[in-house]
Amino acid sequence: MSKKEFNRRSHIEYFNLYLNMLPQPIQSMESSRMTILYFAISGLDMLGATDRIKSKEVIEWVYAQQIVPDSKDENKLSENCGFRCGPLFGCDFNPECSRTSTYTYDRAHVAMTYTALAILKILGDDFERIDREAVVNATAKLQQEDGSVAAISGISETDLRYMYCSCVIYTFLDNWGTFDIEKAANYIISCQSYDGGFGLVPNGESHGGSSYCAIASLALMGKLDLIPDKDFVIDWLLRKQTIGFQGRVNKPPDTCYSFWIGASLEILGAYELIDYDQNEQYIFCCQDKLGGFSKWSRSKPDPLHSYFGICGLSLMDKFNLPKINPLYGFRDLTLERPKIQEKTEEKEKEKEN
Amino acid sequence: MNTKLDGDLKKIDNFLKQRDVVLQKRKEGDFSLDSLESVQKILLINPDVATFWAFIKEIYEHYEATSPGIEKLIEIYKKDRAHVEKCMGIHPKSYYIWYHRRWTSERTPQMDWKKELKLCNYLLTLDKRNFHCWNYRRFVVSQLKLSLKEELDFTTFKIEENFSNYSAWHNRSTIVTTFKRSKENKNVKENEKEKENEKEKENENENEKTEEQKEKQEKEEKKKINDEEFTFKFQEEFEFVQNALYVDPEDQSTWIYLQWLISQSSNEGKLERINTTIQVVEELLGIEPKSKWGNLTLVFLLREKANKVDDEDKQSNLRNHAKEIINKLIKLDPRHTNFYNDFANSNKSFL
Repeated sequence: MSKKEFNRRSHIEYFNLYLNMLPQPIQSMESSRMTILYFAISGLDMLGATDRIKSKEVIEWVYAQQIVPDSKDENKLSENCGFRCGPLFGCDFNPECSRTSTYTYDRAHVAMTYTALAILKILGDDFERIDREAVVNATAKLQQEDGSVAAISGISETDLRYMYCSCVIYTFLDNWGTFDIEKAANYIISCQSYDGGFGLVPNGESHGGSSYCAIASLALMGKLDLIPDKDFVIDWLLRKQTIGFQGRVNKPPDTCYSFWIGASLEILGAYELIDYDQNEQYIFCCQDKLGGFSKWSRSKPDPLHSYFGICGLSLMDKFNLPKINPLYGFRDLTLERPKIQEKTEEKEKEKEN
Repeated sequence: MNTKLDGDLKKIDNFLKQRDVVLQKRKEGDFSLDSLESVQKILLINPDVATFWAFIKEIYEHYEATSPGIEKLIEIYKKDRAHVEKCMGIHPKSYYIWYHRRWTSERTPQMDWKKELKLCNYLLTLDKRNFHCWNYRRFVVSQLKLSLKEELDFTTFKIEENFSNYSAWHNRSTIVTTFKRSKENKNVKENEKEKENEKEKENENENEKTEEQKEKQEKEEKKKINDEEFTFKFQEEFEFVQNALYVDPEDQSTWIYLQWLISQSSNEGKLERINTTIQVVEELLGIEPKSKWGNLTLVFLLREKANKVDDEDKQSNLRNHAKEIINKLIKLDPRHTNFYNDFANSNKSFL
């Protein structure tokens, strides 16, 4: 078996590309541009390549996506506050976040707000220009009668993805506002399926992504103990490992579940029960020569799978990758960054040759 | 390469022009059917933009407010369904598209839910694991007020088509759970219903029921009769699962469902149920001794039995037997060694 090399340099170039453009195959992701930026920024951060990021420019751009209260009446369309995906809808570039006249169809999206705050945090911004109260109040308005959370104000589907996003937002801003934690926690528990995993909605099939959202949300709310039998959930999670991890029973493994399932296990304190070698082998067979990771071997890499592939390796403490905070999905900012022993990696490569 | 680039640039240009038209109309508050055409067109290029779907919903809300009459509404939602089906062809797993479908179905007058069910069943032949489709199908079934028996029969059909269809097994579990809950709540509901019926009889003479309301009431009554006649027979269900095990003893779907089914049986017959299942599993292991899931299920069963017997010697024997099997499992399934070692040190049975 050949030794797998972690192509750090190639991955750095891969993420750097996405700082500057959105290639044609994923152009439809323009409506989620903030999340792509998050993968690129956090990816570079994980790889110790923050020197490649023009932090000031990025911070300005992120702030310019903030929707702030109306200049004349701060209650007008206050439910729209938060962050948008990007300038897709032709808004003015307003990084100072000065109040303007609000516009009905300019609405924040909870996943964009979460990733915007994450980007700012990673780049060391102190949230000075965030209108905390406006964001918290608007996010709280997304909670429905049954405790679930919608993506945007107005007509929207609700499922556990948005529950997770909103919980992280409250945690980052250290303010849960009028969010009903009790109702939310009960809603999450009602999404648990007969086999121990969590579906996206009540009666939904258990799935790795929604299970992560459920477990991380409960942990952030301090309600992890509401899970009636944690071992049952841990069993479901561990059984998702075939070589890498699958998202559902009888599905092929997929790189990103090394994070979704892995981080869930980490939160529940059972990560060491996985098979590290098999997981690593799988992630590596998805490593692309030119940088990035794909979901399956021999398919094309994309920012999401590239990012979660690296997170998957970080959970195993590999390649001097910094430890991630499993609740947030990016580097644990409270810990010192490990030194990248690039020279050692080069020497080992020479030895092989 | 230049031709391709030129082609792409033209596409981008076209998309942006269309986007500008749509956004301008929305800004101007133009909720006319012309706007509808523009936004439906752009969604066929990129169905993944929530804002465009939101605009369509707003157009419909405005249109409904003009009271155009039932025929016109039926027509417009019919066109919408055709459009959504095209978008589904491009993106069969888009959250926005499925949500939009549900949103419009709920407000279509005289909605043909049977046709909708046919669509779901067709899409499940293309991708039997599409959970968006399964979720929507559960919703359609609730509108049709299909009886539990009919729903169960559908999952039987899907499972017999392919025993590793985990989504079908999952759906089956929701049906069993619903059945159990309805049985538990029966007495409470009966009392409440009596009060409701009395009130309804009082109101009946005052209000004239619409055709739709009458139809709905008929469906509910039919479902009630069917559900009462249908007794979910655990014994039959066990036999169904056992047959599935023999067809494919390595597919985890069946084993997971079996374990859960045992946990759902009432305490009264549980020990007997466990003994019968142990027999079946051991018989199966006689044919397929390397069945990972068979061995694991046996561990659960032995432990659960140990929890139920009084004799301490018997308990100890059962638990030791379970431990032996775990050692066997470590050799059969080395990837989960850490799990088995951790599991061996506890006496949990998960049942």
